[in-house]
Amino acid sequence: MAVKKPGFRNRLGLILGLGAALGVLLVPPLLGRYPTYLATTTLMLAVFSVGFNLLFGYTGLLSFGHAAFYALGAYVCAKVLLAYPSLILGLLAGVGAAGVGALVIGFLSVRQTRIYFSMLTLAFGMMVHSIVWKWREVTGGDDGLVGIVRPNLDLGFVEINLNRPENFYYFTAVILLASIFLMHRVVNSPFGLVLQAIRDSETRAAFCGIPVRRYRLAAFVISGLYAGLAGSFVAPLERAVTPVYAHWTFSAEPVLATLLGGINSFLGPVVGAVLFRLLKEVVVRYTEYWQLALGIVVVVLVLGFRGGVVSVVGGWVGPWLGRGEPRFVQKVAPEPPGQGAAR
Amino acid sequence: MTVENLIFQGLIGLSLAMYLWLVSAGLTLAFGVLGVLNFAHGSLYMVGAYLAYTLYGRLGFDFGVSVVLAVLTVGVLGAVMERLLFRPMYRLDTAFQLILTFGLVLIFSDLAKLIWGGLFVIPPVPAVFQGTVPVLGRSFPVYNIFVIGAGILVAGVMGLVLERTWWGKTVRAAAADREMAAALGLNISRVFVLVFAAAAMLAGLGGAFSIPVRVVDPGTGTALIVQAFIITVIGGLGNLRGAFVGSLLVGVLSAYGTLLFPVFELFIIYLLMAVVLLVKPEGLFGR
Amino acid sequence: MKRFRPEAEFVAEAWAPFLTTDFSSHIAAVMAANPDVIVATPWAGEAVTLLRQAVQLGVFDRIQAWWQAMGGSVDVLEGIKGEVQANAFKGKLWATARYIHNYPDTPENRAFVEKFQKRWARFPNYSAETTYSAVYAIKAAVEKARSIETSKVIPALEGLTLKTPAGERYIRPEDHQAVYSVPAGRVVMDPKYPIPIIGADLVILKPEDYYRKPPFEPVRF
Repeated sequence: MAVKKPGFRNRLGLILGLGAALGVLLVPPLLGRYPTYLATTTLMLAVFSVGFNLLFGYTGLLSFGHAAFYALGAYVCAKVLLAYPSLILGLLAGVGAAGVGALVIGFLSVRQTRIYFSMLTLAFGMMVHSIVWKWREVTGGDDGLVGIVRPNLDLGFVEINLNRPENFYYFTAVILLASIFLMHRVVNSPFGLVLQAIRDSETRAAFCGIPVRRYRLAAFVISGLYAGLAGSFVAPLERAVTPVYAHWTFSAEPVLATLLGGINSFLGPVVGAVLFRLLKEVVVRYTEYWQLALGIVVVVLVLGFRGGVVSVVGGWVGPWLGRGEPRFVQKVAPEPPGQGAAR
Repeated sequence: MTVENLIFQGLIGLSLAMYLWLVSAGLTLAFGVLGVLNFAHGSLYMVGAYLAYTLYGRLGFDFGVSVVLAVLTVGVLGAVMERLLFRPMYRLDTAFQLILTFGLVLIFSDLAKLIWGGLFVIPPVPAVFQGTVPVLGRSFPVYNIFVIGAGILVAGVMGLVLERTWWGKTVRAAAADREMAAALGLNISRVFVLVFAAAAMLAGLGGAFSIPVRVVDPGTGTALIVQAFIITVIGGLGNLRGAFVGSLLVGVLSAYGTLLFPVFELFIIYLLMAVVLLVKPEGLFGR
Repeated sequence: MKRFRPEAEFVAEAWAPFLTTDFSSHIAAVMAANPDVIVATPWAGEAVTLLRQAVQLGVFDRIQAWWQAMGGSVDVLEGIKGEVQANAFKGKLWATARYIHNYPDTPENRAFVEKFQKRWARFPNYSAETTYSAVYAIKAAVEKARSIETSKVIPALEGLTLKTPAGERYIRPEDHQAVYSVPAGRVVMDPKYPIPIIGADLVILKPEDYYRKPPFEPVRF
């Protein structure tokens, strides 16, 4: 719902928001170096997932190849930084490259829907992966690109030393905040509403005169840009990029994070990214079988809680706030009946 | 590059194709009848391989007995999966089905690690399958001939069952129009369980066959499933003939790719899938 | 190779990514060029699959030698035990590893192998030995620097010589590489051990022969 209701709900939202901001601010001084690094990667995953959910939650398209754009961002930023140490330039180049890639792949992929779309994106994603893997002269092959510098952030009036982990972390947090703000504008605009209309009923939207394919492509490109932005951070953070960032198993990360947090809520992907990271890190302290834990969580979520953690918590908190049961609308439309015949 | 080498490479590709065929057949059957695209089908192959390894390599059963027992067990596992996990999913969007079956991949992989350890396992080659036969001046493994024969046999049997038997007609009816078939009195839930059990058994058979010549480890399912997806898409989702031809195509193409275009063999397969999806998304044999 | 045998010619090359389960097409492609020697780099499970499939394809009847890098790793040796016992490699399999438990025959190595076997009932792999030595290297550096601060430990590590189970290791100050002699040889069954070992025709490769020396060209693409 795009209508804002004043009062207690907004105040609670404000309190939660301030609490979250405080939590984010306090990570480096309270928790130390390694958790700061983990938190930085979580923020990057959040950017990735926020962009991804525009395509999945709001437009109803599940892509299994978005790691391709993440990797494009990572590698192009890396090449720029290896040649000329300007972080801003590197980030812009990475985002730009991802955008171009998303335009090309998206143009070809949005011609199909549902399963065929997912399979197409998987195929394209793995094509990018095999190119990255094989093209040693440019990408370093399976060795990847190493020795990337992390330059200072030169804003003109001040230069920030990003080699200090907490500075890099805060920089990433600022970028995440900006990305969230931007996405909020996108989603609550007429464009965002049209996407949801397309998701809910493609035929009806088409009959209303909406150029469905073009809107889908736009959503695809925007989510690709976000993926590229997140990926660009890998280059200065890890000082090395490898082909794993293009593999389809890496594409699964924003899918799982978004599912965990809640595909129907705007901040679901952010919540999901945090939970996903926490799940991985906490489980790993007790057992090496974190994939088992994650798999079970996924199965339980899909069978019972498709709205993710946000909808579950919303279900508890909502009545307490006197708003009654929140209506859970299954936002990804059901498949029409009748499938291919086994011959 | 001699003609003999080219033909030989093609035969190698043919044997590769058979393993792919067994997994893809199950995958496409499950999609055609149940409408579920099972990410975890490669994991069923892996379970079949692990079970056959344990029975034959650790407990000392005869190889043939181990394969049969492993396949039956995977069939039961498939039936349980369908009942417990797939049934609630049918009304959901395919996106959720993909995500859930992906979760199953993670679960199977770690369970394999838990039970058999993270290290790879491989049993000795059964004595009857050791050795080579001379083909075109080179040595072709006896076991590959067995696998090729078995794969073709499975294809033939499946074709016959689906076309000629009452049971086959039932399955085809359920695949074509679930509601109509139910309205005509077919017990759809029973059909689904049995079909998925059969699909699982096919994958398990592929895995069991693979153990004398390939190691198994917890990552085995993940690598295979993408190839199986590609094959089923190329052949047409739900189309067994398409899956067979698709497997031959992918198996032989990757063998020739390794020989003639060593840098590109991976890329070629993905490109083929993308081209088919763009030009004829129903697949080469799709309606 | 060109340095020692200038007439050596590379006739074929095949490349398989990680997670390849079947190497038959790669093996067949390489054998189409009729090589005398094959050099292979896959390790762990892939090495076992590769070697097993190569035996299946009759490779060891045709070639003169097969060099398996990291073939001396314990998991690979365990995996190919059956083939070695049946002499399927016809004495043509050569391998190397970063560390093998039967060389060098020093008190440190013997003690390490014994303790490892008692604890884990297996032979130590090179990863175990390297980790073990790394911990002791840090200990030695900390003792020398009398501090655990990174900036003080680094210069203490430079130039350090350690007697490790794998032999004597020297940490070069110019690039912080720990160099040592690496064994290689033919894979055989030895009655003293339940699994195959690198036991015959042992060659010790000294670091001067195989380590690159600075100045290094920075890797630029």
